[in-house]
Amino acid sequence: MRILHTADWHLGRQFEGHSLDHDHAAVLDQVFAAVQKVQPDALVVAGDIFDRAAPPESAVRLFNRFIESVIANTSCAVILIAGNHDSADRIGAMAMLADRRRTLVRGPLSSTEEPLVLHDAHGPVAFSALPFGYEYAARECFADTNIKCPADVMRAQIAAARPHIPPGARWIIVAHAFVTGASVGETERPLTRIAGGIETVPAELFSGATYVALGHIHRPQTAGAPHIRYSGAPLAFGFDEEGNQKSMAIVDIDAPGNATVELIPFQPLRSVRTIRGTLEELLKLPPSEDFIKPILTDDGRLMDPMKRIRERFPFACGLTYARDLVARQTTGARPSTTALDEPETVVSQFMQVMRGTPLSDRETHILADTIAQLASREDAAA
Amino acid sequence: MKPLILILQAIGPYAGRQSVDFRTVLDSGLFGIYGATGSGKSTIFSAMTFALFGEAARSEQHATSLRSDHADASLLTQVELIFEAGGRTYRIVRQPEQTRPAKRGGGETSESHKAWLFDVTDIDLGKVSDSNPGKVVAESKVTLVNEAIKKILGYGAAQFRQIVLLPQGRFEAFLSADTQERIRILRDLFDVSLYRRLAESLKSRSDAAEKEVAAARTGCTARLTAEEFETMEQLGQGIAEAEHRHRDLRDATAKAKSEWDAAVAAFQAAAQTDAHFREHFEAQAELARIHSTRNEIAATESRLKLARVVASLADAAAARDIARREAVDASARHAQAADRLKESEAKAADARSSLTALLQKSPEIDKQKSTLQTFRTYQFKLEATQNLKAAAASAKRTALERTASNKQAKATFDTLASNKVAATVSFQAAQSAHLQRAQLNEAAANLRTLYSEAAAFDDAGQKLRAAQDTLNYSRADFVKAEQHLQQASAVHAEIEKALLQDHAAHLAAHLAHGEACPVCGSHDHPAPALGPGGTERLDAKYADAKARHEQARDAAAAAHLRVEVAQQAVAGCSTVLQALAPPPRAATELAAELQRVKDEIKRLPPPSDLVALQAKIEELDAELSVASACLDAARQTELEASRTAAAAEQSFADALEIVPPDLREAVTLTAAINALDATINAFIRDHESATAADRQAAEAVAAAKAKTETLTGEVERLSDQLARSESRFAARLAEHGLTAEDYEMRKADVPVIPAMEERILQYAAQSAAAESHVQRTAEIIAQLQRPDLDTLAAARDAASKAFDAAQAAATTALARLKQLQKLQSDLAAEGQRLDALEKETAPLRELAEAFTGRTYHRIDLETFAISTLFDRVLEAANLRLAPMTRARYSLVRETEGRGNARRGLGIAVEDTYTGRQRPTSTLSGGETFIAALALALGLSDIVESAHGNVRLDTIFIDEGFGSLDSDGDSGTLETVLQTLQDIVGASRSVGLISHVPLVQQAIPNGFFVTKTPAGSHIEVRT
Repeated sequence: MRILHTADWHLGRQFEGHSLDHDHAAVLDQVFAAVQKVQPDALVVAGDIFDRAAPPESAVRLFNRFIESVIANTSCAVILIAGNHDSADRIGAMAMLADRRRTLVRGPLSSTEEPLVLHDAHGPVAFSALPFGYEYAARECFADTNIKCPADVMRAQIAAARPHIPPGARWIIVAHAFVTGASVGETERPLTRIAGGIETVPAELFSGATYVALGHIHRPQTAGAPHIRYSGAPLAFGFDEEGNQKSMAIVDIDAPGNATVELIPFQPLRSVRTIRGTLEELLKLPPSEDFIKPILTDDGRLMDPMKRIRERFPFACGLTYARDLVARQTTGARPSTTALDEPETVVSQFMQVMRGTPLSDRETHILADTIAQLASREDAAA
Repeated sequence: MKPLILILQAIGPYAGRQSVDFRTVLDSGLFGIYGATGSGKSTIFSAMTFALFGEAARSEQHATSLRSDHADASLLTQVELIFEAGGRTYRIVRQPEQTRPAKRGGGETSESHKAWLFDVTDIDLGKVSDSNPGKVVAESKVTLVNEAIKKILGYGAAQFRQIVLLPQGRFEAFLSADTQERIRILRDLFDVSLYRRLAESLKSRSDAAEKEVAAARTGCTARLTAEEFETMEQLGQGIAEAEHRHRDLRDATAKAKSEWDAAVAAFQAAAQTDAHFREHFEAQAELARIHSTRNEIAATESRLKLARVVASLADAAAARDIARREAVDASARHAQAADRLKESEAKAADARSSLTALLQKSPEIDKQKSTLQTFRTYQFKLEATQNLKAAAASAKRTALERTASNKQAKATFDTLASNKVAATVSFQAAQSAHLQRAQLNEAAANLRTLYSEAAAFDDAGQKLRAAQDTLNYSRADFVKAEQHLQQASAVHAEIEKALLQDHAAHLAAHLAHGEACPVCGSHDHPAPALGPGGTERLDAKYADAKARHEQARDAAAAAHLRVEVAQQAVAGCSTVLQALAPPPRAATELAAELQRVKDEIKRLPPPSDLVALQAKIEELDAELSVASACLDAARQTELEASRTAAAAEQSFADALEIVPPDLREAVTLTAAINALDATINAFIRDHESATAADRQAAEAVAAAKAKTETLTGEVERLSDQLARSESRFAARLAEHGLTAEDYEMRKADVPVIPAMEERILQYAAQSAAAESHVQRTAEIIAQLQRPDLDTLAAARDAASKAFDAAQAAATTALARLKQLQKLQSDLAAEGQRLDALEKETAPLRELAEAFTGRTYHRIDLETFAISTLFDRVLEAANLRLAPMTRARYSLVRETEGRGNARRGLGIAVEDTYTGRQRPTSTLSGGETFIAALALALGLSDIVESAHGNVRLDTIFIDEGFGSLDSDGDSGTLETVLQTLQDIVGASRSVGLISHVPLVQQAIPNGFFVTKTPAGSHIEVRT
């Protein structure tokens, strides 16, 4: 049994306001090419297919064209689940008209998780596709008020899926979650609603599964065990992902249920990178259509630096000065306390700013005298 | 302020009572309030604002309009908010002004605005209700409640809307406000009144200083004007003129003075001449006055003569007077001595009678002395018998002790004897119970054996009967099964036959002449079977009958098997029964008997230890013999002790026989002896003192008598001497022809003899001097003419007046000069002083003017202080804005105008991309929202850090996210929400009202408001 595992496409997403339509089209072409080349039995997309619940038309069009070619040109089964960015109901709608022998599309949570069972020379392989769902939805769906965290939701979903697995079948779970041990980036939206709450799901929940095809975390990696894997996103969505090699996973399951993984790297149209130097230095770099984050090391404020950089790097974004970065780190999150309760300082600054000279001794004396008078008058009034 | 529970009743779209429990979502940091337009999201805000401040969220909305149009007319509009502030929990309940149906009659009653504030700290919030409202902080009176709230929160409604609950459309107000408006907002939020007061105070001081200088300068001018000068130069000229004038007048005065001096000298010379004339006339008058006293002088001379005679008789008169005085003295002393003699004689008689009385008592005393002697003998006897008394007492005590011991020994003996009787009785009872129990146990054992045998026999009989019953039933079943089998067999044979018939018919129907029969192979078909053939139903019937037949056969076989099994069981049971002997008595009878025996055993007393009881009796016997011996010994001892005591008592009584019983106590006796001793000693002392007194009195009488006799002689001698002196004085009077009366009359003139002599001499001298004075003056005036003094005096007075007038004019001129000179120096000094004062107060005035914004770009100190704060607000805002715009934008103070460096509170945005500042109005909708959000959060931060008691735990933002929901800004909303979660959620909660699906998708927890025709409902999701 051969599976192509990918996830977190985030179709319709933009990079700092720049459309990623072409970039998405390029990586989807690579997925289709891989499907044709390695001939998997199943294509798995583990959630966050679209970047948001109501994706732009261009994104839907891109998706439709891809699915159409896969269905028309290959015999590969298609397994999709809704992620936390997707609208569960919209994804669920796709399931209604699809060929149930060849596809498994899961949108909203369900208390009976029927698998898609495929067969190979060694017997049946069952795919349980578990869509992402929030706790409140899960409490309603599973009629269990004790569901309090993402791990509880996942536990209920697996419990709903397990009874339907034919005896002796190899079991593949497709899920969208933050499994303990995975390392997160800046572009994943937290799954928990409580600041500081536990959003992770322990890997132990997936016991009995031959392979767990995960989505949600954008960097390809395993989580807790070699057979529990994030395929990662096909594209970098933030500068923190600079240098990350994106890939899809080809997974071969043998007769006893051992999974062998081979990664097929994506070749993005544009890479994401940071360039650093004075404006003059940057303007000497070769021009590029990559997503560029310029960090200027110049001392003074320059006039229209972005305009000049964009002449060479049209997709530059997030221009910063190196010294601002340092300053921000050292300032800390709290502003200094106000000096309003030190009238001497405020008055001295006032005179300095207004007149250009600080308070003279005589003026300091007058001020102190007046402040003391005011204070004693207040005391008398109190 | 942290809202915990909000309860809305009949407000806006909420017709009934809706509760919003914020506690479930506050932990999330960010939470949403979602719902369709008009469902009542913002009403939650309005209700919260109204609960706290009695005003709706938007200041222009009137609180009375909160009332729900869907609500039941009788349900009052009310908001209840439970919130936490300053570590305590409060509950505020508020009803707006409203009308409701009257309780009686059909009209409407209007209810005024009411509010209640309770402290519900430490009360379970689930149990807080109107009946358990908590501790009242303020009640009913809206103003009191509002004051209390302001005190608890540290801010009012306006500030609340600015920093805690940012209402729809107002959110960007601070960003887009102009300088004045922004100052107003900041002034509301921060207390910069100190700077205003500072400026005012300095201003008033500076004004006072200025006024003082101005007033002083006006004073100077007035003084000049008063002297009719306009300037100091004119004053200088005036002084020169005055000097000139003064000099002229001074000269005139000198001239007048010399004229006046001359007149005075002329007058004085004339006056001297006139004095000589007056002296002469006065001397004449004096002489006449002296001569007028001549007669008086002659009388004095005759008096003097007689006085001198009287003085010569003084020695005789003195001798007579001394003799008279001595005679009187002596007779007085004689009378005194006679009195003393009488007194001494009376005292002597008293002493003698006292002594006599004492001597009469003497025999009584002698008798007492002998009694004393007797008593002393008794005392000696008493002391001698003391030992005998002690011995008797001790013997008596011993006797009592022995009696007590004897009684105790008797009691011990009795107790032991009764114990022994009791022990013997118990032993006998135990012995008989033991024998009875042994017999009963044996009987019970026999009964048990008999009972088990009888029971076994009964059991075997029962089992045999049961096996026979089973056999009977099995046989009946078998007969039935056989019948059934026969029937089924018959049916089966019949149907089989019919089926074969049918099959044959079926086959026959297909036979064709000349073709082989499928059954027999014959080509000839002489007798084909008839019938329809091929009936399927027969097949089924046959199968059914066959099955039934087989079933019946199986059933018959099974029944037969059961019969055989039952037969075997009967045979087994009867063998067992035959092996057992029939019991002599029935089992039930035996069981009853056994129970009776068991009951009897139970009734017996519990078994006891016979050996131990026997030992106890023996032990008591031994103790009894010991006690008996003790008792005998004690009796003997008691007898002896009582005998000894009687003997001792008797010997003591014998020894004391001679002493009377009332004196046998040593104390009584000693007291009697002491009393006698005292009486005797007192008598001896009295006798001695009376004897001494008698002797002294006799001596005193003798002395008095001697003195009286001496004085009688002295009186006689002095009487003689007096008679002699008187005759001598009378002889001398006669010598000078004077009577005793004359002598007495002139005696008074004797002391004034020298004065009379002086007077006579003085007259002679005065008379001579006056005569010579008259003579001398007459000679002086002989050549002189008397002058006319009045004319001369008039000339002199006129000159004096002329001088006075001249001098007055000169003085006036000098005064004027001095006055002008003083004015000049005064004004000069004042001018210097004022100049100095002006210089000294210059810094004060400069500060005052600077503070009130009169100089330096017209910015006053308060505005500057606010702008200092504003800088901090911007700093805090930029901490948020940077991550939300990926460091592209920062907010800066706008530089206003050109060339004029005034910096007001304008905000500009600095764009890192262009390196330029631009007005905030050029930001896109989404950017504006982000900037406003950052600014609002920054403002909250600074308010919180500037006010000690303001805590902004929760912030609410109504809408605004719509501006971020465009395709061009897709990542921005995500970034903004993430930033809010990261930098805001950690320190406080932020509630967002939004209808933007993406917000709801990103922040799924919070409140969902659903709209129904009957009013809206709130659902919480976490």
